[in-house]
Amino acid sequence: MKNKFFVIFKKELKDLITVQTLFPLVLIFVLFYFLGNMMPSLISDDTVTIQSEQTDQSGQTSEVEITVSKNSMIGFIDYDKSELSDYIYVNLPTRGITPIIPKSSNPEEAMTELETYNLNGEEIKIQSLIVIPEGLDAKLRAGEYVSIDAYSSIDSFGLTSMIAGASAQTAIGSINSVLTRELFDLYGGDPSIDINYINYPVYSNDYTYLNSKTEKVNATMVLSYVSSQTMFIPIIIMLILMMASQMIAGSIVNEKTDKTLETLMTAPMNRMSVLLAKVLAAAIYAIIYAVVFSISNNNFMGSMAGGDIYPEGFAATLETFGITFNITTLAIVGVQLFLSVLCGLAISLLIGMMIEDIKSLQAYLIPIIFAVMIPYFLSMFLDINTLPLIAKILVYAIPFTHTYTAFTNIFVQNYTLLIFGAIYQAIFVAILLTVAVRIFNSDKLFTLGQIMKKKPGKKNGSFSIGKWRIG
Amino acid sequence: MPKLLEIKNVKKSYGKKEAVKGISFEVGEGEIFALIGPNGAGKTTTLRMISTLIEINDGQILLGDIDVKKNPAKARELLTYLPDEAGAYKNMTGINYLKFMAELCTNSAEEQKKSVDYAVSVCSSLGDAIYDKIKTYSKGMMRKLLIARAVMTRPKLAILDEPTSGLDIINGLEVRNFIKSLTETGMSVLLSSHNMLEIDYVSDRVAIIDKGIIYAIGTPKELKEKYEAQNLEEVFVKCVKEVEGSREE
Ligand SMILES: Nc1ncnc2c1ncn2[C@@H]1O[C@H](COP(=O)(O)OP(=O)(O)O)[C@@H](O)[C@H]1O
Ligand SMILES: [Mg+2]
Repeated sequence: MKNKFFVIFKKELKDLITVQTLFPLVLIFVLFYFLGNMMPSLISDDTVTIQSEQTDQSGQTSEVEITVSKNSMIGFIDYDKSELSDYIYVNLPTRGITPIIPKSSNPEEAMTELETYNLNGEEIKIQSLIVIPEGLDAKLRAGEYVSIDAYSSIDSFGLTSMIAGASAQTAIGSINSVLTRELFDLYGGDPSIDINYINYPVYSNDYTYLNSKTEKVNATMVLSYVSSQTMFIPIIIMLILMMASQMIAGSIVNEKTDKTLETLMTAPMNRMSVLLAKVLAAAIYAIIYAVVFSISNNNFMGSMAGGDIYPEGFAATLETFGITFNITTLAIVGVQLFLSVLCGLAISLLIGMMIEDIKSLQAYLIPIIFAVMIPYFLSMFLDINTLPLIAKILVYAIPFTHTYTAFTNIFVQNYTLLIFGAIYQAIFVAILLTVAVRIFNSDKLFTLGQIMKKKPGKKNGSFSIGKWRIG
Repeated sequence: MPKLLEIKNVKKSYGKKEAVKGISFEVGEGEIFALIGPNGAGKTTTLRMISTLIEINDGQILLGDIDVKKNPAKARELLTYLPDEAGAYKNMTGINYLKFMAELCTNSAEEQKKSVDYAVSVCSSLGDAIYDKIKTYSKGMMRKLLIARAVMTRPKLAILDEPTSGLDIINGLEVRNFIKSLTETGMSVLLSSHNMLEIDYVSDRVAIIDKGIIYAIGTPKELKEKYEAQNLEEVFVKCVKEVEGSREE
């Protein structure tokens, strides 16, 4: 009994552990290893050394050099120039925030300046600014709440930009906790003082800076609105590509196994019609799917948002920023989506031509699915435009990336990249389809698969197809 | 008999493997010509070259006055091809498959209807099953449907790869009788088979092929007489031995 169980068990294990099944695992490992190594350097710590004043116990101040994270820096404009505002400035670093005083004292000019701030000869990007209003000191001493203008700049719509967007809020929080100590000294023991006031004497007035425009709106809200509207793009690309790829490759492979393809190819008709009909049918199916999905998604998102979570005038604000989900933007993204689908179909078509049986199809499609997922994960975690050049080129070489970034590129008015992306995708499709047509018109379709089967050691499980390698 | 198809010293290799090593034969109009030989002899390769699916490496194939290599599209208007072990679109009904193929292979609604009617009469033994989905068909039913498809446009040349292989005695006989009857319409048939016995009765002439070489061509009667054999199987054994023997000397 036991022996026979192991005979079957061994065979089943052997069947499962093949190149085809291990390849995706390796890919997953590599991908996440790569992401894991890159994330920390991109998100958190890039440090710089700056001069800072420090007050020692005897009350003497001295200049010291300290190392701080670039992400901890925030623009700091002080209209009050008082004891308490000074106190805030000096003590913010103890909360992990490094205030930087811009040359301009006009907040909007300062935001522009901070975008490319020159720190000891190194250009860094500071995305937040707080403005201490005149009369802060007086109001605090009179027990009044103080509002502080907090500016956040949005330069992309990835997940990291949310982190940057939050840092003005973090600064306000830090100011509160810095002040609490001081106010406690001031009002300690005063029974008429609200404990809440001591804890949170200041609150923020949020401004968002985007495309060189400033509007009184919370940046996190803008980001979350945009991501609620665009989140479905990557998901839809993934779904569509998986389905359409499978369909078209499957339809070729099925015709091969049933030998109906041979019948079609000896019929008195243009062979190109066979290819075009298949590609177009799959593309139309994909587009219908995309439309249905988008509409359902919008309804779903709309019902989730409940319609009234955004403040009055929010739509007008978005309009000012140039963030509009109108016919034009949707059309551009639609074209992008269509191009992506065509890329996927063209690749799948080639795969379908080269393989012999439907069983190995799944395995061969996995690389496509990964090509779809890599930019998806990357665009979720970071702004692809901030990647090192080589990584950036690699990521943009994946045609699907351009569709993921389409909305962002429209919203931050990066039209060059948008147009370049569309052209690149079109060229990509054209080349692949040309290759496909070549193969279709030659006899490779009927000889290639057999040749690879016959080669010693290259069984069905191998990933190499003639001279090509998939993956 | 005027000739329809002429194969002149045709060669084909798959990578390094030479599948067909320079073969020549002719098929006359209204003739049934059979390539017979064991598995891997090069029969399918030869038939695929003639039906324009794969390119020849050397030699020439003439269909009428058409050079098949130079003008494959023109050749496809004159021939039909039935692959070995072929299937059809499983979710179509038999009749819809015939209609679909007729639409692809003809140029007018009239021709299409004529073709379908003929095909239906050819596979009349399917009965009402013609309205059933193809996935419910047995091997014999499938083969009849596909043969009907192959001849429905009455091509000048029908190329049938192993049309009777895998069929039971009754279905095999039925198919062979049908093929035999085709020449009455003036159609030429080029078929292949690895079963040398059953082909004797069907074919006007046969070519004995093995390892990409044609060893002998003639009517079954001629060949049996020449090699003093009871049947074509014996002819095959003897003529292969003879040629191999003369080579070794
Ligand atoms: N696509 C192919 N790739 C490589 N070798 C092939 C291919 N098709 C056939 N062959 C080889 O060519 C020889 C002839 O095959 P084939 O023409 O199919 O023979 P038959 O139809 O007579 O059984 C065989 O040795 C076969 O292995
Ligand atoms: Mg064969």
